[in-house]
Amino acid sequence: MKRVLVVDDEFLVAELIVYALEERGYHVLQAFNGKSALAQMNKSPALVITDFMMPLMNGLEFALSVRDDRNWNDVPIILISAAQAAISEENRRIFAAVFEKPFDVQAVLGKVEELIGPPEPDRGGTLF
Amino acid sequence: MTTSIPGLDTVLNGGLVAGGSYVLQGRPGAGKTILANQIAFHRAGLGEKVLFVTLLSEAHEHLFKLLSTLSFFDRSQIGTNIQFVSAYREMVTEGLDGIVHIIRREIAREKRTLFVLDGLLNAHYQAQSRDQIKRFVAELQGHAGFGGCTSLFLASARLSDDSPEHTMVDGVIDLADEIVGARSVRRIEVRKMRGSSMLRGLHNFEITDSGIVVYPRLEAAYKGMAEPELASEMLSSGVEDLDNALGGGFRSGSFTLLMGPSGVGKTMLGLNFISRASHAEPALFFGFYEGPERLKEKATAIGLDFDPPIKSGTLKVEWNPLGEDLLDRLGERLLRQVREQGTRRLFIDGAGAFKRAAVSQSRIVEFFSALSNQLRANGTTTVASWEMPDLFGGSADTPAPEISSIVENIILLRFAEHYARIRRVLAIMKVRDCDYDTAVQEIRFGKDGLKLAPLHPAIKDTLDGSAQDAAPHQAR
Repeated sequence: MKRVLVVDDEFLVAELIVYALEERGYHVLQAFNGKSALAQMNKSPALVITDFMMPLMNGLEFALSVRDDRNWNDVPIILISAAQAAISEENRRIFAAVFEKPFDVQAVLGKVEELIGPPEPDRGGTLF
Repeated sequence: MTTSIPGLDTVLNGGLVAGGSYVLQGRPGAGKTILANQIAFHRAGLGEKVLFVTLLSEAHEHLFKLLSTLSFFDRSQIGTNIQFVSAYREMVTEGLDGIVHIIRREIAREKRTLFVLDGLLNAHYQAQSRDQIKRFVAELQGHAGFGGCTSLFLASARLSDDSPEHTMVDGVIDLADEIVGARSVRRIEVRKMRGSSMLRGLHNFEITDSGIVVYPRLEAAYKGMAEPELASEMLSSGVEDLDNALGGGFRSGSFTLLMGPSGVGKTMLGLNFISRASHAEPALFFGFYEGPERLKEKATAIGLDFDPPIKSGTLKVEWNPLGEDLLDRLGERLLRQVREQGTRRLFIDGAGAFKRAAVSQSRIVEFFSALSNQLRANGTTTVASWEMPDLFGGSADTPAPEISSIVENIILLRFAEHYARIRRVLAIMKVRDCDYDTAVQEIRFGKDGLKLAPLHPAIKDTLDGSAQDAAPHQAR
C-alpha cells in the first residue's frame, strides 16, 4: 500500500489534504511538525507533503534531514507553503514540487499521482 | 519598543517596554489580530524576528488573505522574519504543557524580539485551575522575556481584572467596538502599564486601508501644557471697519468665535480674514460645508480673488465633507495641517462640526481648550464660526458656557427685522484685555467688500431680532 506522509501544524489544512488523499485511495500518515515527521519516516512513506512554517522543525529543515539520510533520500517531498519568499531557488530543488497556499487540492493530487502513481487497490484478502 | 501604529505610541508614552508582556483583549472583530500583526510586520520590517503562535483552528492562509487588504502586510516577511505556527493540536492533545514545550523550543531556536500568542482564551479554557493558567502565562513570559522578547497575548474576550493573566502581565490593552446612537465606534484603552506612564482613558481608533490608526484624546495628549502668552502683534481681520472696532484687529495667537445664524455673514467675515494670506502669514481654510470651488465663488461675490493665494500656496483649503467623523481625528487633522503649513491665519468654518463628531459631549470644553492652546502655541490666529440655531430671537446659545472663557474674542452676528427689511448686525461681545467698540453695527456686503456701518442711535433691540425705532414713523 502506498503511504503518503502529511506534515502540517495547521489542523484544518492537514485535515483537508488527508481527506483528499484518503478519498483517492492513498494510505495517509500524519505529523504536525518536522520533528515528529522524521519519526514517521521509518514507516516508509512513498511520498511526503509538508508545510514550511511549523514549530520545532520547519519543512525545509525536515526535508534536508530526509535528504541526508540514505534510507529515505529518494522519497519525493512536496512543499505546500504560504512562505514562498523564505525558500531560496537552491532549496526549491530539494522538493519534487512546490505549491503555494492557498492551493488547488486536485493539482496536488495530480502531482502525487504523477510522482508515485495511482493508489494500489485495496486487495483486502479473504478469510477462506 | 515602538509599535509604529499612528497614535498608539503616543498613548503608550513611546511604545511597549521591550521584554514586557501584554494582554491585548477584545471581542472578535475588535481589531486585536490586526493590531498585533501590524506591530509584527513593523518589527519584521526592521529586520527583527517575530514568532506568531496561534491556538485557533483558523488556517493561517485565511488570516493572510484578510490581512492582504492592508498596506502593512508584506508576504515576503512570512517565513523569513515572521514565523506563523499553530499550536492548536498540541493544545488539544497535550494541553498547556504541550504549548509551552513548543513555544519554549521556538524561542530558543532563534533570537526573537516579539512573540504573539493568538488564542489566550482557548488556553484559559484548557486550564484546570487558576494556578495552571498562571503558571502557563508565567512560563511563556519568562521564556520570552529572558531573551528580551516582548510578548503579546491576544484574548477574544475581556478577562476580568482579577484574572491570573491580568495579574501576571505588565500591561493590558482593551479594544472595543461599541454602538453609540446609530454609529459604531472603536475604542482602545490601556488599562494597565507597568514601568511606563500612559494616556489613561478611552481613545478612538479606526481600521483603515493602512491598518489601525489611534486618535489619542486631544486633551489627554496635551494635558498639563501651560497656556502660551499671546504676542502683542495685531493681525488685521481683513475688514478695516472691524479692525477699528476691535482696537486694531485680532491679537496674534488669539482665538475668535463668530456666532450667528446661518446666512448672517460669518463665513464672509472669515473669508476676509484669510484673504490677507501671504508668505509671512500663510492661511488655512478648514471647513465643512463648502468645497473649494463654491468657496472661491463666494469670495468673488465680495470682491476677493482666492486664485492667486491658492496657486502660490499661501492659502490652503481643507474641506471636510460632513459625515461620520471622530472628534480627535478632526482635531489631529487640523493640527497637522497647521503645523505642516505654518499657518498664521486659520478660519474654521463651522466649528460646530467638532461638537457633532464628539461621541461624548462632555469632552467638548476640554477638547477646545487643548485645541486652542495648541493653535496659540503654534502662533496661529484663529477665527471660528459657530452656527446658532435661531434665525431671530434673543437667545444666544454659546457652544458650551465655558467655551466663552476659553476664547479671547466673541463676535455676535444677528438678523434683525426693521421696517419689513432684514438687516444683518454685528456686536463685539468680548475682546480679552483690550478696549473695543461696543456699538452694534450693520454689516453690508458688496462688490467693494464687507463694510460695517454704525446703526442710527435711535434703532434699538436689534440683537433681539426685532429692531425697535425710538422714532417709529421714520424709517431709516
